[in-house]
Amino acid sequence: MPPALERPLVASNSLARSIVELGSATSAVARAELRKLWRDPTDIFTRSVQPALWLLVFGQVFTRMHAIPTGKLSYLEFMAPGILAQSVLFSSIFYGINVIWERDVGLLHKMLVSPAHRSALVLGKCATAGVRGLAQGTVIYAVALLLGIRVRWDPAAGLRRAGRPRAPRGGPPAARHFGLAALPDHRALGRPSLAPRRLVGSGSRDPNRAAWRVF
Amino acid sequence: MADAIAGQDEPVAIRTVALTRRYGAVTAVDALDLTIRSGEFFGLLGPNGAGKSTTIKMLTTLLPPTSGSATVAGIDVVAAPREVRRRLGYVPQLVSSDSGLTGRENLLLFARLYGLPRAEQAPRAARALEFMNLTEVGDRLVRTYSGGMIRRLEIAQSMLHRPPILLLDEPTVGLDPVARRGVWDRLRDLSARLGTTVLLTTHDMEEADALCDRIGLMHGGKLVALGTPAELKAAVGPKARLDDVFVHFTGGTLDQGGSYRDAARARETARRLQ
Ligand SMILES: Nc1ncnc2c1ncn2[C@@H]1O[C@H](COP(=O)(O)OP(=O)(O)OP(=O)(O)O)[C@@H](O)[C@H]1O
Ligand SMILES: [Mg+2]
Repeated sequence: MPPALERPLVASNSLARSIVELGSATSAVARAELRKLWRDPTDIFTRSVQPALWLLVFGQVFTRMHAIPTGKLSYLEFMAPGILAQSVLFSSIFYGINVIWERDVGLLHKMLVSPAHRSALVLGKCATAGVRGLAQGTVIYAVALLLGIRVRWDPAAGLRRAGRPRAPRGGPPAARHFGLAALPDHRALGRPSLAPRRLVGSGSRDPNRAAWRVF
Repeated sequence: MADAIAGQDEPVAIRTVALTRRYGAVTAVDALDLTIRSGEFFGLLGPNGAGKSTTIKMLTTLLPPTSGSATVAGIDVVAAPREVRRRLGYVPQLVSSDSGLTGRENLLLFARLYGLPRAEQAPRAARALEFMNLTEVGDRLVRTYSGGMIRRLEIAQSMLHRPPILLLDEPTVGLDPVARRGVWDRLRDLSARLGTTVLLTTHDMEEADALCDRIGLMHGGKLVALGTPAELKAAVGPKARLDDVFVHFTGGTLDQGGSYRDAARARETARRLQ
């Protein structure tokens, strides 16, 4: 080990340098985390079991029962975007909890004692959580497609719709918003409302099986 | 490292002045004055709850001192924490390798976090594995390592950037005698070959005796004795062993201080390393 090669790094204070350092530290953390995910992706599938069960069991059963008024949609289509959002959210939360679990405390301390920017740790983990969420979402999409849920393959529609919330009645079925679960579109969420006004009126396909009879 | 001990030429690696840390009513470190010379192998000894880990955490900038000051490689830990971190290697008390990565991947992660030049990352990781006798297991998951291998890997991780100062918190707790000797051996080699200043904490007398140039005995957050192992033994009695020194200065009981938390943590560490 020639000592000249092994000397400590020289400090540098320029802003550009510091941004580059932040970027490379972030990618270092993300790469390590993604490698673990790649090596052992079972986690994504085990976390997909519960949402898949929701779709398969509850979705199918309630769709048959017509117990909950969901407008023109089947119950399955009505709840699929929620399941998607929920499972992506939960997978991120559980991944985040890992950071504060005792298991990683030593590693975290060691990282905090490196000169890397502390935000790099957070950003790297966030990037990984994003990838996990997407992977999880893909699994749910696959299950949804297998169950015959109609998906509208047009991401730009969400942006157009978000800017035009009061679309005319009789528009496309809300099932088409499945791809846009995260977007605040009150039409998608508002139409199958459980408000009593709707139930008494013509909102429900089968008014004799109103929601309050079930729950 | 311009700082020097008055009347001596040797540069100072670590200096604390009235360093104090309180947790609510508990004073974990109480006005600690300590000077460690560059290149020295220094052992901080003390029973559970003596304040060793707290001292180390303040030196590594993980914890801010309540009062007093500390410099590492001549740099103040409060004023310029990032510069201090560049010059430090740190092996925490808890396991600090990622069990889901291989040894080599763990090293590369830290090579990148320390901003080593890209072309040097892989060769340095390879040399570090070789130095720690881990080349054969370098591409195995850390999950499959023995406690001794994990500790050696952790030391390699914290030495990749060749820091002038290495801090280790109970590096051999929970290791069997053979693994422990393996770790000692590597630490001695590091200190001799690279001139690294080493500060380690331990409650193991044998370890302190075998490794350290000088020992500081801590009890209740204070430094109760300081000197070479030989000096400390001579101060207690003609045939004293280091165990006797420990008992003499910490008031005769090994049970003082240290809460349930400390014990639980120490055991947890030991269990994980098995
Ligand atoms: N986060 C904390 N909050 C409150 N008290 C703490 C905390 N960390 C440590 N202490 C207390 O401070 C004192 C010193 O703790 P420290 O961990 O520094 O001891 P130690 O010498 O490292 O002991 P051990 O040999 O068990 O590792 C103990 O009495 C402990 O209970
Ligand atoms: Mg400790």
